[in-house]
Amino acid sequence: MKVIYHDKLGRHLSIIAAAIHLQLIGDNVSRWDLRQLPYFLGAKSPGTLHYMGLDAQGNEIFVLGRVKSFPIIRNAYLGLNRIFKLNQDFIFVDVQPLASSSVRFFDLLNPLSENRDRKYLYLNGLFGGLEKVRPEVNKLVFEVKKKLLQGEDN
Amino acid sequence: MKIFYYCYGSAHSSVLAAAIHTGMLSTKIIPSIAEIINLPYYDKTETSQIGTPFFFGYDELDNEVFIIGMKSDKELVLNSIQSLLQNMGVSGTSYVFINTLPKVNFWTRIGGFLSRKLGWINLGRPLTVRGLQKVYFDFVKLVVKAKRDVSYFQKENRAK
Repeated sequence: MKVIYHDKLGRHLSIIAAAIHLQLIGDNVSRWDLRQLPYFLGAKSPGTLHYMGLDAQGNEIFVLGRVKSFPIIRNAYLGLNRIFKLNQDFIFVDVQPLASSSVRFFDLLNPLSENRDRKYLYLNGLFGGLEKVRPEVNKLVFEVKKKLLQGEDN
Repeated sequence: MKIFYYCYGSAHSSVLAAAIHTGMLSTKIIPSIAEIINLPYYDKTETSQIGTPFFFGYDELDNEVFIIGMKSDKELVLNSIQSLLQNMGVSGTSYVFINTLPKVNFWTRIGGFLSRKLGWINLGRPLTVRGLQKVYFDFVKLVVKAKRDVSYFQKENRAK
């Protein structure tokens, strides 16, 4: 099974969700820990599907920043799966609805992260917002894992 | 090889290019309104289907020809498709994506908007056809070049 955590930019929320899924981060996680995650605040080319790792059940975990094109990308993935006979099962997990207003606000200020002087302000605000939504992301990942395990039982 | 012609909604320009490529339309004469309108998938794709690749036919070299829509975010969607195929171990030499949008003129854009977006098919569809007829030989050139490139590429690959 390919599990694809996706959000608008693929720079933080989806990566946190994938990292929780893969147990790369636990409940007590520092900002430094987050910044060590692969692709965290680094994805510069939205749309790219990034492989994050293999979970304990052998599911492959990916992250995707899809801006506003998720329905098109989903259709394309499912169609190409058939055409190229990839025989893969996909689970698409939308993490974007969990983005609080502060996370969305600092996403808008994303270009600030390029500026060294303003980077601190940007990161501070963004991390604050991300910390608040962590419990929701935990819950979502828990549900996904439960679904995956139920799928195995069936 | 799998050849994907892509445009905004996989309803007009990609359909025309795929039809020329597969020999459904002549490269010598401009097709009639009926010939274009009766092409499979012509002015048919619904918004919810955009992104789905549709099989159109085979060319004389047995390449499979598809059409796909990517709306206005084509760089992002293309990037996503290529990264998916790369992650799944599909060789980059087994497929090619060809953009047909640069050949689309004002009339086809307006007609497509009226027909697909507003549902004014009786007004929009003939406009899309008129628009495509006006630039038909630009599409022929695009397809001829695509075929030449694909054939050259395949020969090179076989030689390796």
